[in-house]
Amino acid sequence: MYPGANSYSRTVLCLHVPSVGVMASTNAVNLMLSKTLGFACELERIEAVTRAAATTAGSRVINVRRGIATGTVVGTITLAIATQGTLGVVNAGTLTAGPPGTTAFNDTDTLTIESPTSTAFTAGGVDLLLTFRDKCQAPV
Amino acid sequence: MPRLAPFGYSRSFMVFTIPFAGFLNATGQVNVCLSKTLPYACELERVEIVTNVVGTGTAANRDLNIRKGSATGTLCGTVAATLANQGVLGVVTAGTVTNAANANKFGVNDTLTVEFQTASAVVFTAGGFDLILTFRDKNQAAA
Repeated sequence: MYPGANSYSRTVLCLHVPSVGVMASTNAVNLMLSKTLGFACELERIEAVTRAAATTAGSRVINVRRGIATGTVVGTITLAIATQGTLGVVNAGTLTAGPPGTTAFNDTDTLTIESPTSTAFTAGGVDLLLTFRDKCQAPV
Repeated sequence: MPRLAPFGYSRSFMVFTIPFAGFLNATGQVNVCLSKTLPYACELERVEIVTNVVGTGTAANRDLNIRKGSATGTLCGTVAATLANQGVLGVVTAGTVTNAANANKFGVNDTLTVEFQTASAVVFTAGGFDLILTFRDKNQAAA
């Protein structure tokens, strides 16, 4: 692989998703509401790494959206006991399929991560890793 | 849309998960990250906190400082965690970046410190958040 003027840099945004209020809850929650990015980028990967083992079978879907909590879904990941029962397991989510630009953010877009009503785990916690790619660009 | 530029900036995130114990339940000065070597030239562009555990505590307040150098180094960013902004999960609270006199610019030999200050501190009785620092840097040779 060769670098080039039109190639990408990557950065990883890591958010901690705790047991209290999220994993051990059934409630719909916002994990991040309308964060300004301030630069153009594309979501490239969604992963969750188990940091605290869950002990009963729950399920929680996490949606990554462009805009507010009802914005366009650009990626989704499902947390289930199969992936949340063992520390360190990396669970990969899916990006929304579509033409180029489907998962893109421009510098005025905001980023929201939300999770609808779920089945509670007894415990558990993950680090949510979002990998973005961006090209060299002038500051806003 | 910002102008794409071969010699423009790339961005990167640095995230610190701030737990309750030892940080939000205290009022003293405490270092989150002391004199981390970067070691590349970059600029602090944005400071934000995102609530991941609902905060409680009467008039709770903790001020976070981002410094170039040690715990007494040049202040380049601040953000305050308050009862008002920590009461709801997922709320993004933007801090302030100081760019006067290039305060937010780090050279290859500069270090990064993140610390809670004592002044204005009032304990939380619960809470937690992620601190998100956004940096921009240009392509450069390895250190």
